[in-house]
Amino acid sequence: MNLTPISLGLSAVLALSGQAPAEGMVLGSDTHLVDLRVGSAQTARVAQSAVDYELSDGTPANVARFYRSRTKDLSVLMLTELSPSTGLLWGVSLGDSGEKYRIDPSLRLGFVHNERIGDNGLLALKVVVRAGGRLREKPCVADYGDIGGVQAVNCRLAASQMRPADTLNYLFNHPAPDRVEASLTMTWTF
Amino acid sequence: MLKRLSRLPLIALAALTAVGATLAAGTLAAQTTQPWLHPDVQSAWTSGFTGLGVTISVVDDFNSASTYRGTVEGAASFGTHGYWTAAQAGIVAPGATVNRIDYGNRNTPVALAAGMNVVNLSYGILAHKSVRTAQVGWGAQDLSIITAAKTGAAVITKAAGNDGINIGAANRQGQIDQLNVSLTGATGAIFVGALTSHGTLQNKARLAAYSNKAGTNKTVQNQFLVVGVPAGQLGLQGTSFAAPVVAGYAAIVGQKFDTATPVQIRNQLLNTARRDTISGYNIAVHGRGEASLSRSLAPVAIR
Repeated sequence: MNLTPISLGLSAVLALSGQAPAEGMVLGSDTHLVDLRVGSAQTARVAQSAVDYELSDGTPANVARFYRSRTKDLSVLMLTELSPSTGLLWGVSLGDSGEKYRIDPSLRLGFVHNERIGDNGLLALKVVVRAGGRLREKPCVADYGDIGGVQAVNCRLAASQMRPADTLNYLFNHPAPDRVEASLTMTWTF
Repeated sequence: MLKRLSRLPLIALAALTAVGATLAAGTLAAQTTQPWLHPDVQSAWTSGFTGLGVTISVVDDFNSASTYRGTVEGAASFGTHGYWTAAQAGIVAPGATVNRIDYGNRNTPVALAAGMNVVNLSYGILAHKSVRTAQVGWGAQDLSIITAAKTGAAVITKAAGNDGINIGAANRQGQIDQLNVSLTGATGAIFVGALTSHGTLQNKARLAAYSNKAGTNKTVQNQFLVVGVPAGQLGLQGTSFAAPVVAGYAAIVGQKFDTATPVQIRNQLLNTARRDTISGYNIAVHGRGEASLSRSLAPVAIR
């Protein structure tokens, strides 16, 4: 299933702190791979919303085919060390698409900064912003026969009690849910 | 056995006096699910579709002293035949405007409202089989309903009858429901028979023993539907309580397809009826099959 991220995630904090350098995939002396994923929350949202229904003659509409991913959303996040305590986070997501939806590619940029507190404490601030990654849904064309004719509809809601034209108000058009990620973490070892 | 379908001998009808104009008009109870409702109805409500903008005129007995015990609204209570049929229509389509029109008011035509109209008839006009249809003493009310059915000005849901016979045939008393005869072939009319339960693929439904059948007349077969009338949950039984369910379905379909004509809505209900939920489906018994609200709202194809 394309929803499960294949994650090679490492803590940027750890990568900078020197506590676990062997776990990072070191690409250069200063650059590390900290996260690699296939699929995204947006992909999952689309797939979960594609609940099937019957057409008027009882045959399945097979709505899932419209939301089957043709390309998996591959996301990479890298960390380039700027100093022993500060790193630049950067990465890309290639986007995702199916017959009736598209998730735009996106760029991620941010930083992580670590501050030691005494001998046992570590305070880490991480901020990452994403540009792009909007989810857009395309309408279907539904044939309602004599009673409703041929109309553009939301594929997922074509058999609902909603007026066909009104279903278009519910097409997905959402920005990426993780446009800004910020975290402040304190670790105390004892 | 309850009086399932009001039987009005021709002579008795002629003797009836007008008993007032349209009774209370307005939206009935707020949407409250009841165990006798088909699950499709709850789905319709969840999507906000309750028959809003559609008028259901229930022509029935609202004024007589005859009352029946029913559990249509949950708790047991007593009401006239019309009280119950109107309550059913209002429960299925709580957003619809339900007009209660006493069928004793035979000299006043049924006035259709602006917009989409559904008229429910859970009664018959019985005359001896020797009486020709033209000889029936039709009132202005009857003629207005028949005209609306023939011109497609409204969806007319007509209870099939409770003699266990074919539509148009004479019962044991030698009487024929002339209202059924007059509505045969009318482009807005649907005859509604009763199943003992809602059918599913796992538990197919059977025609209630009392319900009239479509018969061999192909015209009747093509305008005949059945729906579940769970007597244990309604506290009532009879095709009288099948027709208002289809009236409510028509209102909900009319809200979704708000530019459709009554004839298109009627045909949609007929064309999307299910045969696979009926035990021993036979067109001469069950007509087009069990009305399916969900299928009547679905597209024929999608791409």
